[in-house]
Amino acid sequence: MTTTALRVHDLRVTAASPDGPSYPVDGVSLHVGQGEILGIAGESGSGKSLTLKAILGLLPPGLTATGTLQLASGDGELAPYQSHQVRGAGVGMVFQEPMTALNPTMRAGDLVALAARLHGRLSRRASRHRAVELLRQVGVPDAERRAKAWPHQLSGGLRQRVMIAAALAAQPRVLLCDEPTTALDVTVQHQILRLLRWLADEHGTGMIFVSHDLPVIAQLCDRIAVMYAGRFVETGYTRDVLTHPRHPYTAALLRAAPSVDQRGEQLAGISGQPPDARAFPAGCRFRPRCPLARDDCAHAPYEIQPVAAEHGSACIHHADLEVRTA
Amino acid sequence: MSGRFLFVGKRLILAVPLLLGVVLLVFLLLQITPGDPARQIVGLRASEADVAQVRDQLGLDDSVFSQYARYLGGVVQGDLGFSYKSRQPVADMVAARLPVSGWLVISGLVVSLMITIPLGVWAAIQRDRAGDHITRGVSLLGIAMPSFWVGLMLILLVALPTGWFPVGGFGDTFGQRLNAIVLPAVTLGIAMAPIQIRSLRASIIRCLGSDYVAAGRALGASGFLLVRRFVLRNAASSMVTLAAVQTSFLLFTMVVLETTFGLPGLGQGMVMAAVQRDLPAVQGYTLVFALTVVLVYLLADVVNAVLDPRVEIRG
Amino acid sequence: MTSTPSPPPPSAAALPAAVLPDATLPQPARRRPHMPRKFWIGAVIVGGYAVAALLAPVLAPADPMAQDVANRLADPGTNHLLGTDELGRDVFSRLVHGIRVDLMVGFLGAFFPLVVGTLLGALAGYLGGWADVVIMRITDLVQGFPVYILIIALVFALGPGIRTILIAFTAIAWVIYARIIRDAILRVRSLDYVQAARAAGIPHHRILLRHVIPNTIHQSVIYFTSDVLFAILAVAAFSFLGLGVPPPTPEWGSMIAEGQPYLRDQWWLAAAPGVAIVGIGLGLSLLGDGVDDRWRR
Repeated sequence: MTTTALRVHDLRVTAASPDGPSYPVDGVSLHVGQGEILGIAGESGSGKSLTLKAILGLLPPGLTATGTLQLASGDGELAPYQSHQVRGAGVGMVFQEPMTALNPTMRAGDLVALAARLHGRLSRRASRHRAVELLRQVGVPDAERRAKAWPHQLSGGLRQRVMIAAALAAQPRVLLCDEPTTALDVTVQHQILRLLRWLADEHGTGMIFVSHDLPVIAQLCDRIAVMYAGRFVETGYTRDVLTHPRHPYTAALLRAAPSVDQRGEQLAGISGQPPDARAFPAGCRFRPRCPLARDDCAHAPYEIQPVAAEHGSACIHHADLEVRTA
Repeated sequence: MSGRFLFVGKRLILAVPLLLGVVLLVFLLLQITPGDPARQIVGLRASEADVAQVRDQLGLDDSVFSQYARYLGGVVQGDLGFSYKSRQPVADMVAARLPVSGWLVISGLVVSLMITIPLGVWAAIQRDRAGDHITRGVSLLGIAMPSFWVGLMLILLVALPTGWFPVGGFGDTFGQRLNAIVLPAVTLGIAMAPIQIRSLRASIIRCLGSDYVAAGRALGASGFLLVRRFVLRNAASSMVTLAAVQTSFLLFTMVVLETTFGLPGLGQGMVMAAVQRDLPAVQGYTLVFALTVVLVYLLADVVNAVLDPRVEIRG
Repeated sequence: MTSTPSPPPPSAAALPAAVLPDATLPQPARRRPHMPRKFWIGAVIVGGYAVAALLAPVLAPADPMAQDVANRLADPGTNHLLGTDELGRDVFSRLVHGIRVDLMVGFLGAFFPLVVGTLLGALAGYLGGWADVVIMRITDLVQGFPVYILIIALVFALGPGIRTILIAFTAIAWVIYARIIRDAILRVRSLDYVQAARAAGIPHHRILLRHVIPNTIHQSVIYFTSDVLFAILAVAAFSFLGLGVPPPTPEWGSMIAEGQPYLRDQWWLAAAPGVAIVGIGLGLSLLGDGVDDRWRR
């Protein structure tokens, strides 16, 4: 395990409403090492995207975040930070929809150059050179020419590369990836995943990779955190968690994705809908959809218990699950 | 860039059938208006023979199609016919009144932008807080007020007590005219501003909530830089579209206010022509207004083509 | 870790198939329990005007048409709450009776386009094909025209009066409703659950009632309230110009026009009808805004 690049402790996102507050992200703690990719898996509405946005302070109006955020400084020491200080500096973000995340009225190269200039106080000329260099680095072919293209003239994969190039302009320690491959077709998706893995391995960039797509996470991530109803329900090394899931929800997710080698369908296989943050069930939040639910699940306290080395589950009956899967 | 020129060219070509349709519609006014225009010209006392002669002169007994062709031919050459009342060429009447309306509209738009831009931006930034609620309340009130009544209240509360502005009319010298246009322009601005404010607020909020602004913030852009590089140009194109859509309402308000303030512009001319049942004059003014709207739409397309690089694929 | 682990998912087999009951149909539209306060304020204002219109003969102290030239331009007082106009008619009584005229024209001027537009839009959406093309081309044409100027021209051609104004309004304002309904039908048609419902043999009108109407009614209501407002403002403006409701019918716009010459000394003659218009306008705006807010959040 390398040094920790980002640590989040007890992150909570509060949504104010006339009916009282609700907590779409409710006590999330995580850490990412240098060059490590942490996957967060869960259905839409589980709070995984909001977790990323809260880390960068990009929550939509009406939502506020509490908790401790720490980022490694130059000497590797973790220090608490204000989110506006790390934007365009220590932490970068890649968004889900390359169609909408690029400013339609800004040429690709200008966006990357702007990011470079915001970070490095470069001259206009130097930032333009840097932009082309960054575009080339993330695998944009014919980068000189593509730098002058408008976003709508680029394919989805190229747009996502532009987004990554812009995020890398600040040489961030951590890159937050919000389903960056969901909107892309399979071959392009594969290329982008390879690029991200390469960035982590070669540049030591730590990453949080959010996706509902377990096969993608299995392919890319070192560790995984499974998120449900605003909380992590299972954490551990990807291989451990996916081969020996110790939470019924993880098991259900795996069931929905028939094979890790194939690109899975959406999580259509799981019954019912994830609960709304305004009406999370008491006790274990997965209980209403859980095939193994028992009476005591209704008052289960939330706690991630160690089930093996570096492997934790929030299910109070995780031991039974092990018996059944054995 | 060539794609954009192509787009503008395509729009120009598309405008041609619309223009023909406008002329056709104005021409049809003659057909659906009851009464015999020839009888109107010669008067009730004139003999049937005189009426027949005028009908012949005007070509009223020709087929509708050839009448339309002749009308269209005249319009293309700038001939809008002769007024039944003053016997003047309608084109001359339009030309004489055009500058008054032009000045009123331009100064009215300046006033409305002076109201709209600060309030719209303020409301968007203050979203759901006091400033937003105040602005929205004021624009609700503004929408509910008839423009001509606002004009009269300004005369009552400003012009009459201070004596700074004329109560109506236009005057002869440049100074008098400048003075005469102030209250009408302010009224026009007040009439146009509420819808513009709401629209500007909505489009700024839409931009601020967009993924690309979030992405810009994630890259470290903030404050004025964020607004300038990520919001302004995107919000501007929807404002240009709104301005085009609003043109019809703008012209109507102009018509009403010219009558309210006694300004000798196109609007007052059209109302007078309508009251006097002067068909060629009504046709002429309608045509000028309709052409204005078509041209403004075209202009908005061109401006948007410059502002928004994506229009070439939309066209 | 770049190599793909290929774990057999034994756990999955452990889950009983009963975990996956039939997917529930998504709700067509989410309903919120409370209308915002401004909706109710607006409703009370509009309701008040409506009651006053109904009770106009009771509320008005005098005959709105009765002239009393000897007593013309009287100041407000106990006899005449808002004084008398240039023909000695009681202004307050004319104002109250004016509610009937303006509210009726405003309501009908928005109601006819709503009906015509909804029918044509439903036709375009359900028939599709050439009917859709023709109807949508017409909406394009109308939207590309300077509508208010067109109304002036129509009023000129058809002669002033309430009937003309209603015809002109209907000819122009139906477009937006046609688009709303057509787009909603096309959108709803393409939804999986509607196709499933159709496959299950649920008749068209049931689908229309259950899915199309709930999804469009709020939009139509918002446009309707603002159309009522614009119809009221427009009829007042046309009457002010002398192209609307002909005298001596009590109508707010023409009352303002009649008051304009006496602005200096009898300012209330022009001011009072305007206040009446602003009142109903605010009520309608709040009503529409309230519906808008409730459905948008």
